[in-house]
Order: sequence, then C-alpha cells, then structure tokens
Amino acid sequence: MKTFYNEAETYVDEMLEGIVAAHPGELAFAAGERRAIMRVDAPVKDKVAICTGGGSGHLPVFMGYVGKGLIDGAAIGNVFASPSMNQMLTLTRAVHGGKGVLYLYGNYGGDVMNFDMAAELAEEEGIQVRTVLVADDVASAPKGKESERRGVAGLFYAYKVAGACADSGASLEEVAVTTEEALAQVRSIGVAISPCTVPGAGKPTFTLPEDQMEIGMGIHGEAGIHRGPRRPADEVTADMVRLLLEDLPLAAGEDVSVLVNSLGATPLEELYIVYRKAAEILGEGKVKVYSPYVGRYATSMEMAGYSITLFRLNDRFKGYLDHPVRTPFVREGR
Amino acid sequence: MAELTLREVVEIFAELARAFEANRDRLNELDARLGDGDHGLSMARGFGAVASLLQEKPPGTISDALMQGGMHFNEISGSTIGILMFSAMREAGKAVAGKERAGVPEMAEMLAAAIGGIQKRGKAQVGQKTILDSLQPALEALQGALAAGEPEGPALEAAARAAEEGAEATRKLESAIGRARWFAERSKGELDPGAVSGAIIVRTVADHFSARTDT
Repeated sequence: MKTFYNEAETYVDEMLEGIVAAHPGELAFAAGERRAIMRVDAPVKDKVAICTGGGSGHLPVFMGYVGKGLIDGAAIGNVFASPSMNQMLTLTRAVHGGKGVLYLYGNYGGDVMNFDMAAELAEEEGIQVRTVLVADDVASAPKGKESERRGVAGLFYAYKVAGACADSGASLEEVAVTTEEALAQVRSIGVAISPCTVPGAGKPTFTLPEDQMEIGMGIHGEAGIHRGPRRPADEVTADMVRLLLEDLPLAAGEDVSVLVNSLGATPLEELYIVYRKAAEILGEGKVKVYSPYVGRYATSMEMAGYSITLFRLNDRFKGYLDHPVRTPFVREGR
Repeated sequence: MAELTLREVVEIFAELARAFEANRDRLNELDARLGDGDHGLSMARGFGAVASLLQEKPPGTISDALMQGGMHFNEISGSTIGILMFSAMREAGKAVAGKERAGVPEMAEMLAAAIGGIQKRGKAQVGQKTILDSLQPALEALQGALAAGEPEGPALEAAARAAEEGAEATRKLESAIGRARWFAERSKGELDPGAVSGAIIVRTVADHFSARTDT
C-alpha cells in the first residue's frame, strides 16, 4: 500500500494538528492536551457534556463528530490503541459545563479500562459521569451476548441521539437512558475485501486472498463470521441485511434509518449500489426508510469494504435525527 | 537487608527499563501470535519513560514515585497494558503511602495491592492467561516464604521463580479475556506475553536486592 505520511511516530499528532488547523473556528485542543480535541466553545454551560474517544484510524470517528448538536470532545489514542486515562480526564474537566459528563464510546477493552478509571477520578473531583457503551456489531457476539459486541458505525447514531437529547436540556441520567434505549435499536454488520496497515507495523492487519471476502470483520481486522469467495454487491448486501433483520426484526410499517458506510477505500459509487439493494429489501418488507446516510462515517484507514447499520425509529428518535448538527465533518439542518 | 527506599525505587525502574528493552523483541513476537505484536514495545517504552521521569524529576516519596510513574506509563503507552500498569503502580503506591522505606513484608503488600488494582481494572481472574498468572504465584510464594520465616533474599528469589514458573504454565491455558480471547483455541501452547512481563518485573526486583547482597 502506498501512503502519504512523514513518520509513523508523528502520524497521529500531525493528523490532529491538521484537523485543528483546518477548523480553527470549530475545534481546539482541550487544555493544551495534544491528544484531546473539543468544540471550541466548550464548556457549554448547563448542557450535559458528551465525551468519546478511542484509537486513531477511524475518521470521521471520533473528531469529525465534535461540534454543535453532537459531542463535546474526543480523546485520541495511537492508531487502534486507546488514549490514556489522563487524556480522558483532562478532556472531561475541559468540557464539563456543570451538568455532568456522558462517556459514549465503542465497546473495546482498552478504552473501557481507561474511561472507567477516568470516570472514577472525575467523580472524586465532583464531576458526575455516566457511561454508555456502543456495541452494535452483530457479527462480534451472538444474540444473548449483546454486551460483548464491539462498537462500529452505530457510534454515529449514538452521537446523534445523545447530542440532540443533551441540547434539549435533559439531565445526565435522561441523556444516558435515552441513548441506551436508542442503541437497543441499532445493529451493524461489515464486510471487508482488503486490509489496512497500521503506520510503522510493516504488515497489514490481516491477509485475505484477492478472490475472497469476509463478512463480519471488525474495524481493526478482528475475525468475522464468514470468509468465502467474493460475490456481487446485491448478493452480499442481501446476506448482510438478512443477518441484521434476524437480530432486529422490523415489522411492516415501521421506520428505520439506514447507514451505508465505507470502511475507507470503498468508493461512494459502490456504497450507493449497496444502498439501492438494502432499500429494495426493506421496501419489500414494507419497512419505511427514514433519513438514510451513505458515505464515510466510521472507517479503518484504507481498508476496503463497507458496513450497513439499521436504526429502528420511533417519533422521538426521528426528532433527534432531524436535530441540526454542525461539525467539521457533518453539517445537517439549520 | 532488602529494603526499598526512594533511591532503590528509582534504581529499580531504571533496571526495569533495561530489562524490557532487552526483552522487547521477544515479547513483541509472543504478542504477535495472539495479539497485535506491540506488547514488548509498550512495556519498553512505558518503563523507559518512567525511568527518565523519575531521574529528571525525582519525586518526594516511594508512594509518589509509583503513582506518578504509573500515570506517566499510561500517558506514554495508553491502551490496555498502560492502564493496567497504572492501576497496579497506583495501588502499590497507595499501599506504602507515608512510608520512607519498605521491607520485604511491605513489598508483599505492594504486590498484593498491585494485583488487586489489575483485577479491579481488568476484571480478570487467575487462570485466564494474563499477567495475573505470574504475579499471583509470586505473591503466594513470597507470603509463604515469609510465613515460614525464610530470610528475605531467598524469599524474593522464591517469588521470582514462582513468577517464571507461572508464566511458563500459561502455555496450558486458553486466553479467556481481552482481545486474545478471539484466539482462545489457538492460544493453547503459547506463552502469555503479559504473564512473561509480570515475571520479568518480579525477577528484576529480586535481582536488584540479590545483586546488592552480593556486593
């Protein structure tokens, strides 16, 4: 894989400096911490602050969602590695607007341990913290073991709901419970056809023969549920939507938001071919698609592949999806 | 007499940095079989940074050295191992809060506290193929030797041996926690790099005091 960067050692720091330099009116480093980025007007007084974080390599996850209507800040680790407890704690102090802080991030061991420790120390300082984990990848653990699942593109919907709910003036407990209720209605699954290479690692995160694909692969190259010959987009998409609907049955007349996400290298053209088929299948079941999203929402550097996420909606969640947001990567509504 | 003072703690961290630098590639290779292959790098970087910090900005007490050192380790090596080492060093530091020196019985208390910190943060148990599988046998051997009235040098040596045996015994275990659990089946027969690191830590402390007794 040919790439453009300077040194593996400075990859993350230079990327973050670039993002802050490109969006000076919107983003800033939190309290001088070079691994924590917050909205420039943080702390927002009397609003529940929302913090996220995790390893680099997934843009626009995480920094791309920092801004009005979504989240207040993100702590950023090395590629695919959790940020430190202290980076999270520094961010927490910087964004806390007096109404508590929600930690909202993907279910990965290193992130959980660091965020939990930061939460303990923040509580000791008198900052109220609640944690909600995103665990939407149906391929990473079977039904019945939902809490062991990994968090992937469903992060986007989690940020949308939590951000809109927090903007409505809700309490920390209300934002946390609402976000959990929404996440109970979110499911994702991915498919990969080629890997990415962590800078400095020298070799790709996995190997997959040219004629093969893997359904269910995680965004760090974690093993999926089915490896087999590559097939046309419609067939693969039909399999994936079927797996999602087995986990999250949708009745005729129900509303669902669909997110077709590129894992990095897969182009928009292919995503729309995928979306077409997904929408067709949902339409056959008389399920109504409300607010589709197609694009790069949660990536794995230059991995080729895509994921599909379904979010089963009620009127309240529809309202949250319509809530205007303004971040460097997402601009919706007023 | 084997006794930790602030100076000894600073020296031991320098020795840990050297030990992990020497074992870096071996630990990376072990990790690559079950994980992402950066464990040796994380440990070498973490302890290297702690050793430099303690030399440049000497802390006031043993407890501060461990707690600030742990914070710095986590800062440099983020991720899972970074927070586990932070939790271990923070709890070990708390166990000797206000003390200027720590003899072998206090070292046993520090090790017990460190194990508690790792268990609490990592939610792991002995037998799940983690660093606990070398630290816990070391603690038991140390406590056993002290209870039997053995001299301090041999007691520390017994702890180091038990840690090494515990690490070796992880070959028989299946990874039951963390990212390596995705390779549970394949993990049989392999050493757990975390347990090997635990053994390196206990061995480094024991050798520090046996080297001093020799001179």
